[in-house]
Amino acid sequence: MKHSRRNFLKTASAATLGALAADFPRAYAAESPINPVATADHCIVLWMGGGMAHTETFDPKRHTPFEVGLDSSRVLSTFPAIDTAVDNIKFSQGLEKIAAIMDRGTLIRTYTAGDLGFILHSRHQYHWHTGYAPPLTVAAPHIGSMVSRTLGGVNPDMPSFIDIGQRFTVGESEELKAFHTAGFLGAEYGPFFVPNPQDAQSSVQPPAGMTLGRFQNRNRAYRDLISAGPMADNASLHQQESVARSMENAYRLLTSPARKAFDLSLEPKEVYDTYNTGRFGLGCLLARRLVESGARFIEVTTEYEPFKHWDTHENGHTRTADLKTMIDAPVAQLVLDLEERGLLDRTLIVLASEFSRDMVTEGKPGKVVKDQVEVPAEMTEMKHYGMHRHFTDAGSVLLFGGGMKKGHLYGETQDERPCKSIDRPVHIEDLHATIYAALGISPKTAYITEDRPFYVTKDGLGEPIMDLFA
Amino acid sequence: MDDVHPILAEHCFSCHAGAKRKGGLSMDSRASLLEGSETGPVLHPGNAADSLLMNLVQSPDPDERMPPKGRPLLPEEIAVLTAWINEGVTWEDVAVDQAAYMPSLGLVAADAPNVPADTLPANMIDQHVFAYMLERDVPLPDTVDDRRFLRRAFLDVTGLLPTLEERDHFLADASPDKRAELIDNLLARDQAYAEHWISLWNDLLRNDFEGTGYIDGGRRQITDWLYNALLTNMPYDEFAADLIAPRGVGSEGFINGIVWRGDSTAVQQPAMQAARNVAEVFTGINMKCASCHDSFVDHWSLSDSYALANAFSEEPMELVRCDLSLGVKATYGYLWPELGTVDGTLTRRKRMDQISKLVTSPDNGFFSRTIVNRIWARLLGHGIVEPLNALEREPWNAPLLDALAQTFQDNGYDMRALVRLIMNSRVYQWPAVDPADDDGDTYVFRGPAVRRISSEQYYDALSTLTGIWQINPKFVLPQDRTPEYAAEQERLAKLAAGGQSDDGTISPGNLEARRQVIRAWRVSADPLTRALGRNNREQVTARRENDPTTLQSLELSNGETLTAFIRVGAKNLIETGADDPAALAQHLFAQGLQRVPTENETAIAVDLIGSPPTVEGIEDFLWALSMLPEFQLLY
Repeated sequence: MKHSRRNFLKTASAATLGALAADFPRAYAAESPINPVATADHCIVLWMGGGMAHTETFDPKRHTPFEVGLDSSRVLSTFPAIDTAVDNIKFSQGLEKIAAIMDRGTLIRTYTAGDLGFILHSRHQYHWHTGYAPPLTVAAPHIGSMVSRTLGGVNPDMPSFIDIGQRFTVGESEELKAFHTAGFLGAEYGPFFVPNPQDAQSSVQPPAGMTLGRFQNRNRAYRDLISAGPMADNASLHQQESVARSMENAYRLLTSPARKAFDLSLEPKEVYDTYNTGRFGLGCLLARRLVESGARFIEVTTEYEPFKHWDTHENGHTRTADLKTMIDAPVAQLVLDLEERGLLDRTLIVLASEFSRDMVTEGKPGKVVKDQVEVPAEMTEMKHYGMHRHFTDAGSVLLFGGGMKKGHLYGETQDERPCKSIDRPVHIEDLHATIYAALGISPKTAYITEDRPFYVTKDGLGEPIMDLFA
Repeated sequence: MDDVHPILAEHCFSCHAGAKRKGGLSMDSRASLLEGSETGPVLHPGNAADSLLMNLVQSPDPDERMPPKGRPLLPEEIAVLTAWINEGVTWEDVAVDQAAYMPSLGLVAADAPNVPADTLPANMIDQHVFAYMLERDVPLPDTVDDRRFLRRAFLDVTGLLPTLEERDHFLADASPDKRAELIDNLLARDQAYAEHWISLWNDLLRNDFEGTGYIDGGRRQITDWLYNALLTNMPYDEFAADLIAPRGVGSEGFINGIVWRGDSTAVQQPAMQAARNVAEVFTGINMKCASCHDSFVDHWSLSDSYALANAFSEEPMELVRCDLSLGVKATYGYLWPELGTVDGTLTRRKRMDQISKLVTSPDNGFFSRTIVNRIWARLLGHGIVEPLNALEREPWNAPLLDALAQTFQDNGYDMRALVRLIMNSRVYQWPAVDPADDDGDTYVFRGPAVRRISSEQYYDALSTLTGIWQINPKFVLPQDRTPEYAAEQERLAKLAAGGQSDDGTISPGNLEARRQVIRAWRVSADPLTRALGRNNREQVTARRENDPTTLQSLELSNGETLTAFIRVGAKNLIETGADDPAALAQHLFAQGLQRVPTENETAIAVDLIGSPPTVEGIEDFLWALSMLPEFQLLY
């Protein structure tokens, strides 16, 4: 046996020892040197699952129109640039509505995804959502769970972390499940899933086919049976009480006025139609309604499914045009609606993706990654036109509200291939630290699991990017 | 000091603490630190700028800089140390009144428990616990009544509720030995026992039908091996040896670990997974910290982890600390060198055999303590030592733990004999107590803790109530591996798929497909089982979350999975002849709670079920009954 455990016990503070004595998560918050003042009460992550090419969206480069025989390495952007409401910021064509409200937001152009060896969607998504690169030896919590654990709900009747749009019946579902979780924090802080926003009200209603009257009757009988049963004498029994209380909490949500937030049919038709570009657009509308009703953390995804949506391994140009149509109106409308309701100032919106795309060959010298779809050096068909390979050296993140600057540009990328970050690259630790700080959470906040601190940003080292704050 | 300690521990203690005093410097105490090194003081309280320590950690010269190996200190760390020295080098010595608890490696033979001879119980657990209670002046409770014992015993051994015939038989039995007989009877049900206990092992051994790693063949199931090991009650020392150094085919999935897509960090190399899992699963030692750096919270070091991992590696390993290679070759060895050595010149196969012998050695008290503690915790809710994967902590009753572990060894590592011994104790048969009554820091045993049934037990209990079971099994029982069975499964799967339409009507085929007994552990996790705590088996899990949560209750209140399952169940009850609401209520109470409902309860039930019973009414009653704390708790 060795020596140093006793030494540790002699030198550790009582607070540390107290924390270590328990096996359940415990905050290190008292020891946090940073206590940021919250500039946001709510956070909405708009997730561009599959890898959104920066050069085709928020960081346009030289435009080269399609022609047969085009050298694919010459193409930087397949769309022309357009003006935005901010003089020094251009977008790619197809994002006109977001361009018109850029004066409300901040654009980071130098998000640089982690170097995780191979560039794999679900691993990078895990990294983005937890701040830690998988595989880990503990189950890392999703950032929404960390926020939920630290701050709780704004409205106690509302689930504090709501995840909209991702289904787990798609490819890589096990890998997706691995980070859509509260991990070691415990299921209480896990996401409340709304896979289909159009049908969101069903997740907070009595089961399909059950009237409210029958539902209430069932619940009344349940309560009557509890008080009629022999265990009623033992009513102080903690477990009995906690089973009954959590059933009561669920019943309260399912019958509370807050559940109306989930019902998109209550929206005026023209508003519904403005948002309705599909499941993502309606997810944005739902997010707005949920923020209005006091949800804390919401993620809306375009949904990740291998080779679908932003995972544009072929036909990138055409598909990106469609994707821009999918996001442009609802994202802009979400910002405007929150602004009109006086909620934008206290709601941080983060639009992001796990990495970007480009035409440069993936991999390292001597370790070139095989293309998942053949990408010819010379374009002969329209489906060859667009950014088809994974790229981690730059990426755009759009921020609105929640204390961020308005009309602000952060970071710069090269104008020539590989169009990578050249000024102030932003890594996930600091992006997360910025989100946490905006919500008033120290990036050094940690929870104890298995005797050791697990920090909300990797090893507690994330630093908020103060230049982004107004 | 809270910020300072981890920095010193990570960068300095390996050379300047405990037995190590390189250059004469020891950081064991504030005094020894201020004494400095052979060359004089290393720091001046209140003046960081003039402190040698700060100059050395910031030196641009790599030959001079401290620490000599590993990464230089980060600016944040330097800032913390600077502030600490400028503020006067505060040092909080925690008064350690008693030496930190250190269990011995071997089992300690306990003195006979101090119980008056006239009340000396026969069961050795009772002897130890009675003595413990008497010492604390805690009155000894009476054992629970037959009904509660029956429910507990069935759920604990087989995971199932008793049938009505089994219940009636047991309650009517006047034999004084009927509890012991029931325990023997249940333990003889090989299949039911294996189908229940396999979930504990699936959680511990990271075994599942789906999960990360399977996507490109980076992981293998051990379900077949595991089921058979439990079915045949394989002695636990062989069981462990077969997992650590697989002899045949079928158990390799555990020790080979998970190879995930893409690059993994050093701590997730398969050999490191093997080392960590062998330490955690079999001896309750958590090596997660020490597989990345010397642990800050216990005495295990990075080199201990690598020495163990090295046995499982084809190539000799080099130490990697926090993902930086140290350029130091790992040695070979098992956690406690006192037990014996591992010969690095042997083949991997032979080294693994050596490790398995060291782990399962009778001299390794941690091996039998750990399993005894796991099974105790499974049956009584709270371990003799907690957490279950921290066996170096102080047990609430160390003599009991070691005596049980010794008995387990003496009985040939027979897991079912251990279950039998515990269940026959009066202690197991005492009423469950509310863990919330535990006051703060020190656990005092007052009886078994109230437990909640697992997701598998809940699903199977609903199945027992309704006659409707799972479909699409991912595991075929050995006796069913015939072409006829496979063809029948295919037919039933088609019937089930034609199953339930949107308006809730249920085809007769669906009912037929769901009437064959397929227990919940054999199918993929679904939203209901996940909500009830069936875990993602990517990490070793010693104990699932057991507390009710609001998200879980939402799933129970309006989740599609449970709603659909109960609907088919209600339909089946109607199809199989339920036509009298009072009789149905009596039946479901007897089946679900092993008791007769009161008049009041019957009235509530009948009101819900409807007269004559409707599918909707039965659904609502099944739901309410299965949500009752009395149904969900083992108390």
